[in-house]
Order: sequence, then structure tokens, then C-alpha cells
Amino acid sequence: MIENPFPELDMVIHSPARLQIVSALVLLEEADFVYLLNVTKLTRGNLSTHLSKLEEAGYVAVEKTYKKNRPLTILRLTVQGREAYKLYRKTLLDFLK
Amino acid sequence: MFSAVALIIMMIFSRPLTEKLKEKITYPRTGYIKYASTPLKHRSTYVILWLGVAALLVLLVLVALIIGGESSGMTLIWILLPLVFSALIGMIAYSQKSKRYIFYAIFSLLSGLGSVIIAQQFPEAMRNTLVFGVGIMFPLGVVMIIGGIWTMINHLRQHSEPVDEA
Repeated sequence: MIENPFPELDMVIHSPARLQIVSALVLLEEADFVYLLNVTKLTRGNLSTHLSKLEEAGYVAVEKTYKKNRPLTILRLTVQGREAYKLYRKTLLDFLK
Repeated sequence: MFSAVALIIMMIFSRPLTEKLKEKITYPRTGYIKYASTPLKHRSTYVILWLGVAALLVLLVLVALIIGGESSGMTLIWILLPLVFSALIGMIAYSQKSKRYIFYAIFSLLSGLGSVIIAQQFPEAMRNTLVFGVGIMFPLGVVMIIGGIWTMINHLRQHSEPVDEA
């Protein structure tokens, strides 16, 4: 039997949009929705969908509040999210070596 | 006395004022972020580096005072002041990758060294004020305020009015 030469990548992070989100958040303690919108250039709906998937996986913590009657969504990468990103990065780099 | 009071007021209020401006202008347009704090190891390296530089400068002045007497010690301080100031601003420019701060660093160096040369024409008692106050701090302050306003206008032009998030 032939061994699969390709690494098993975390498909939650592997999507280009979610990889962008996680890569942006990994450098920060927290960021809001508007920042991620500017950085990723995704549409509001698209960004919301990807954030929901990351939240479901336990990689991103979402805190919805209000500031001066304006909705404010604060996003943080969880410890699990940081670990998953590290592992994803290592797996990909090892494969590409 | 006035400049000391102004400096203390600025030190107390600059951070909350900047934060208010960010909340009002920057965050609604480009979003809010909070950087992860610098690891303690890196911070202590910076502190040691700065303490080393400060100790070296003090040593240089002391050596000049001992060997050359009071006047050569003071001359060295006047020459070192613009160099130290521009080096400090240069460090900010490097860490922030800011072209504006590179300009500030060059400007403070030129205005500082220029004032050292011009100050030689004036009585010795006036030289400290001329070099530090008139030569470095005042022109640099004016240029930084103009640069800040210019940057703010450009920022507001480039980024649209705040919109409600999803």
C-alpha cells in the first residue's frame, strides 16, 4: 500500500479567507470586525460566515458589545486557535521543505 | 518654568487624548486592534540597551569635563544633544517604519547642529536655551504638529466615513 505523501492539513484554517483571518489575529491580542474587513477585503457577509466557522471550531472568541449605540464585535484567537495555527504552519513548512 | 509645566501637562494628558482621538476618528474607519504585549525578555533588552547608551553619553561628557574643563564639556553636551535627539527619533522611525519620522530625525539633527553653530555667536549663558529650546525643541515641535495635521487630513481623505458593522 502506498503511503499518502501529502500532509493532513487543518481544513478549518486551510481556506484562504480563514487563513487570512487567523494570520491577522495571531499577531494581535484582539481586533474588531471593521479591522478584519479592511485587512481581508472580504464582504461583510463572507467575513461573518468565516468567523462563525472559526468560532464553531473553537479557534476564535467573539464578543459582541455596543459602544455609543454602535455595535462592536471584538475578536480574539483562542489558545486552541493559536495552537492550531502553529501546527498548521509547521505541517505546511515541513511538507514544503 | 512655563515649558516644564507644559511638558508635565502634555505627559499627563497626551495618552488619554490620543486614545479619545483614536476612538473618535481611527477605529470607526480602519478598525480597532490591540497588539499583543512585548515579551518581557525583549523589553528588558531594550531597557539595558538604552541604559547602556545613556551611561556612555554621561561618561563622554564627564571625560570632556575632566580633560577639557567646563567649556569643552558644555560644547560636547551641545553637540551631543541634537545627535541624541535625532537618534531617538530615528529609532522611532525604524520601529514604526515611518518616512515622516525619518524626516523629523533629519530635521532635528540639522536644526540642532545649526543652532549649535549659531549659538557660538551669543553669550555663554544663553547657549543652553538657544540650543535646546530654540534650536531643537521649538522647530521640531512645530514641524511635528504640522506633520501630524497633514497626516490626519490624508487619513481622513483616504478612509471613508464610519459605517455600522454587520
